Amino acid sequence: MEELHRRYGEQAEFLAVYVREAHAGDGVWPGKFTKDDAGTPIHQPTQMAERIGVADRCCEVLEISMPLLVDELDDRVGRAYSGMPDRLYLIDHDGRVAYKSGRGPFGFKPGELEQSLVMLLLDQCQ
Amino acid sequence: MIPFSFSSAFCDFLYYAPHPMHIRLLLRTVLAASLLTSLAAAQEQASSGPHTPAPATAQSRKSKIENPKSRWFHPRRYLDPYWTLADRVRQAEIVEMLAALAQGSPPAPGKGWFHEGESRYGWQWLTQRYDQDDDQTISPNELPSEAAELFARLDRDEDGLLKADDFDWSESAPFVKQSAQARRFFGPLDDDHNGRLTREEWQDFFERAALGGEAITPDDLRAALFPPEPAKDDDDPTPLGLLKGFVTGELGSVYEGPALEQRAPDFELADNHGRRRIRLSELYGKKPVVLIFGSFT
Repeated sequence: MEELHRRYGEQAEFLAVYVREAHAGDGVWPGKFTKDDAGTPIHQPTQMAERIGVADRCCEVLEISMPLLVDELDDRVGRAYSGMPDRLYLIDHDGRVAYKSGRGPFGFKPGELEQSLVMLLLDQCQ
Repeated sequence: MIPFSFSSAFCDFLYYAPHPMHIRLLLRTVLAASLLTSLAAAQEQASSGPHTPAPATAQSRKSKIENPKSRWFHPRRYLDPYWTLADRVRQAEIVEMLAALAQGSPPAPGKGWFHEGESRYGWQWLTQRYDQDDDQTISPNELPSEAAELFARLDRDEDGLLKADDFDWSESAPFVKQSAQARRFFGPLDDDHNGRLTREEWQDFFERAALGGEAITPDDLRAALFPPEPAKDDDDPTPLGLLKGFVTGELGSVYEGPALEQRAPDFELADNHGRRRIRLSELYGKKPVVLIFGSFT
């Protein structure tokens, strides 16, 4: 996604939304790879400050250069968009959904989003 | 439309009575209850919603008389609306997922609520606009001259022509299969799992694979990419684990999100530095917006 941001950052607004942890250490399927600095698996944040802390770490490790918005603890945005565990949307100039990826992890296809974005830009050229 | 009031009792049940027979029974009950209540809710909505038919005019009364299905004694008059409603309920994602879980399907592309992406744009849109000679391929000169760079971005296989294959994102598409294979090889090399291979990680992998030697043989490569599997732990979710994942939301949100062409729900959130608050609707009109939802794990 960072590559797409670099490539199309001038032509589109990119926003990352940090939602609840998909595979927190205290969940049903703890993530095997993602651990905090002390080497312990990341647990589901229960306080907003904690959630912002994990989002910060995520931003740093994944080198995210676009704005990373942190969803509220009640997951209101994640729920409204069915954004958990991960998902992509393309919203046109009128605020309508032009592309909606399948549910992650299987539906998370940045290349598919890129094609829709390119065609939306082509549509604008007309 | 779909009821979720069973969640608390459902969680207790999962934790205290984890016998597979009970789970199957529970799933079937939940599925049946969801179907019945959804049917009732959908019927109620249909009768009171915005689609309530206008008072019958002379014309519509006439058509009723002419249409045998509209007569009170015709079974289709009662069955058709129920089939339509049943179809709508079957297509509700939560019902699809519950049905897949009841069949013991592990999460996989195309199973349950794991659908393919939907787009306003695609191969059909492109050919209708730009395939001037109607040969089912689009060459660079069929696109506006200022779109040369965009053409290159769409030409996924880089063969200089746009074809239907370039827009196939299904799991059976060769490009998608190749990407999945590349990711499988990429994983063991990406030590810090940040999605980028540095020269150092590449070098580390070489050292690991070469076992201190100066070169890697195909066998070394295989051994490094596919180390012996540790004793089977509980990596593969059990049916009970899948159900728990469904309840805790680890299998995905029970909500469906806005559909294609619908207005995106507005929101305002602060960034992780607390420096900026961004309201989505304030960005409209300037540029299209790409939303990327995700977490660390």
